[in-house]
Amino acid sequence: MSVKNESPSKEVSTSSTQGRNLFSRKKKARIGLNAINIRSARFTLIPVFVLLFVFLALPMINSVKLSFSRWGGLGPLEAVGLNNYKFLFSDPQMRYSSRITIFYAFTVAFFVVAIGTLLAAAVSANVRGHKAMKLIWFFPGIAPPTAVAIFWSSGFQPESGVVNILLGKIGLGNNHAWLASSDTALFPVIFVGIWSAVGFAFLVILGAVEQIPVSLREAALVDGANMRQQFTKITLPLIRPILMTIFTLEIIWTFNGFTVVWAMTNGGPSDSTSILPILAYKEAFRYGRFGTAAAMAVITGIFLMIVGTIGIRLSRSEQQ
Amino acid sequence: MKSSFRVSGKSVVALSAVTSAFALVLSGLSITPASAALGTAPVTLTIQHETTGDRPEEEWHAVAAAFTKLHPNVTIKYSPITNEAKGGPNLQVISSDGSPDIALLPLNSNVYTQMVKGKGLVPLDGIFAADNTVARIGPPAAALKQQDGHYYATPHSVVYYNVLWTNPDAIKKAKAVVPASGHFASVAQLVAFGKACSKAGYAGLAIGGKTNFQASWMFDSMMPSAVTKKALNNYINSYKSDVAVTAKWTDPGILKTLDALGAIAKGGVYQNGYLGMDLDQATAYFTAGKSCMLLGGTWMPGGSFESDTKKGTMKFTPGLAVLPGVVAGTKSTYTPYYGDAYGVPTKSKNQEWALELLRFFISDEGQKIGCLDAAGNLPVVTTIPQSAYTKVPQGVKDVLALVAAYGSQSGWTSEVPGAYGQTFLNPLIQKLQEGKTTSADIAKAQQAKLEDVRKNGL
Repeated sequence: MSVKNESPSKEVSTSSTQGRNLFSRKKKARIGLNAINIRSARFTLIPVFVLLFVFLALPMINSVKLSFSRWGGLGPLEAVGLNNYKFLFSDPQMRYSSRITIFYAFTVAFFVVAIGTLLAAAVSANVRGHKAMKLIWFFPGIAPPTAVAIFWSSGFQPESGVVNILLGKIGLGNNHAWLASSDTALFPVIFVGIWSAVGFAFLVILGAVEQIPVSLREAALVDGANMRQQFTKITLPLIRPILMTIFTLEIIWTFNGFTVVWAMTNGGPSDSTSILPILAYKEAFRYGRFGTAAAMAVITGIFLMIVGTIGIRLSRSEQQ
Repeated sequence: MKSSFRVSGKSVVALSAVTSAFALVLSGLSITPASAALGTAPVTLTIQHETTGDRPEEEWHAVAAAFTKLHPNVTIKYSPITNEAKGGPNLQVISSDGSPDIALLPLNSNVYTQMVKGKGLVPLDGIFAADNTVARIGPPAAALKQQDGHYYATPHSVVYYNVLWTNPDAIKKAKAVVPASGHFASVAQLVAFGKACSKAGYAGLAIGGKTNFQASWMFDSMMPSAVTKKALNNYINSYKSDVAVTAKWTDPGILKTLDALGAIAKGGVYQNGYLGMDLDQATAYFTAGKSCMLLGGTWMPGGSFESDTKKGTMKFTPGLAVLPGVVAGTKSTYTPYYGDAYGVPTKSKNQEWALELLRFFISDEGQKIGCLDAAGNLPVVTTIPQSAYTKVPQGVKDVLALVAAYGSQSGWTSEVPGAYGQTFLNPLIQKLQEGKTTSADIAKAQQAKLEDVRKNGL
């Protein structure tokens, strides 16, 4: 009978080898399983990517191609190089529309975030009537945009519109033709943009506010902080990342907004409310200049990508 | 010597081929009866019509009912579209594989321009020739013929716009004066009328200033009174590169017309906030009795006036007036519009049946059934006696009487492609009405646009 004269190290090494083998088997199994999971995940993502390609990437590629072409809506594209872009950068209407779109988008976004934050803070602090506030401020957000625009288009009419009736009752006159003057027509549009967007922002911000640990607020109370101090020193800093995100999203959504402005003013009077999406619509469908409209869309898209990137970076740095 | 003529087998075949080809050519020039050529297999036709305006739905439903009685194998479906869509986004619909069989084609829209340019429409020459349609329509048919010599669209009715509907009750209370002939003698007289109405708490003239057409309507009505017929013809046709430009947009007649439009706006004739109101809002303003007049057309008596009267919101019977000429003493006229036409897209899957239905639609019989009896509209053909106009509202008959007395003149924005005409000019006139631009600037801009279109096309 041979004696196994294995050194302990060997035993150890054997067991460690066995252990390593076992470990590597488990690891391999895990890797194998991961590989299967990864493959399955990739497989299930294929339809998503196909849809994204067909409905997002392909139209974008075609838009870029169209922006370098002249096309009346039918027939072949005629390549014109940078002519559409040259036209847009020298067109006074394009410059005007760009200015008012930026003003419109940033103003709406600012007030949406500001009002949404104040409402969220008030509701979270259980201010009297907070339940009704939740309902009232969310309601405009779920109403169809066209219905909202038609309502306010009548609402801003002189004499018979609800705004002028209210202004008349408080002695500010009831004859203001808000939508009839190129000096004032943008302001009712901004108001309606804010009114219809506050609800969504309010709910999201409220969710962020309610995530703040109660202990922090209680500690602040113990330290003698009043409501304003709690809001400015605790709530605001903690929800800043979400505020940045909402602000960025509102800019993007408002920049691309068409329905409300179109239904209220058709871009008038005298193209004074022709924000970029409306100008693009008119270029394409009224003038038959699809190439110019596509170039406008490309320029807008690049601008919004920059805005979005800045917004995400700021939001992340706030989180850090 | 035997002389004989033998017809070989080869020559028989050749002869048959030639004869068949000749017959084929001939058949393209004439219409064979539908039942013979089109068969009895079930077919569904889709027709586009506008949702508002001169009651096209009633018109088509009546014609379709009569047509399907004649051809029970045919089913007709409808595809209503809005006023905004018909002149713009509809291009994508009627050039797609889901195209309707009969498409709505406003003749002054970019849709029609592009469809003709892109050969997206089936020529109607055959059905026009078969029923002598060009002669039945009369002089306006000349505008339907395209530069390639073909017809691609047919109007179905004629409406008159630039009609000043009046509220006699309000005018009486305001102690304002509409001339007995209905024609305002001058812009100053219209402005004075507006001031009298305003003093009594009414607007002088309600218009839908927000729309993309009403500002330029008045240009259509008043411009012919300031220019010669030759100049007007040139303004209408000079966008075509093969027509010499003999009348410039910077000429005095145009400047005077634009000055007149500016003066009317500055004179406070319109309702407060008119640039923020569409035509429906302006019409409601008028039917509710808040203005002395409304700038409208012949689709209104049978449309909004009738419905508002039934609802009880309109409590008066409107009268008529006519815009002033540009220069004192000249007369402007009502403006006929033949422009909402129909054609058959090449993407239609039932072209032959669509042509046959369209042919019936614009036949005398179809015009009587649809246009006259069902919708109370004015037919586009001139071959139906006025005794058949029993369902046409009295207001429209009054317009016809004025047209018979003073004539009518086709509008510039109705005749030229929209991208050069109405779409371009309307916002400029809105700016003028607001006081934000001058007649000279508009004239320069329109002249530059003309040169651009002549050089680069539409």
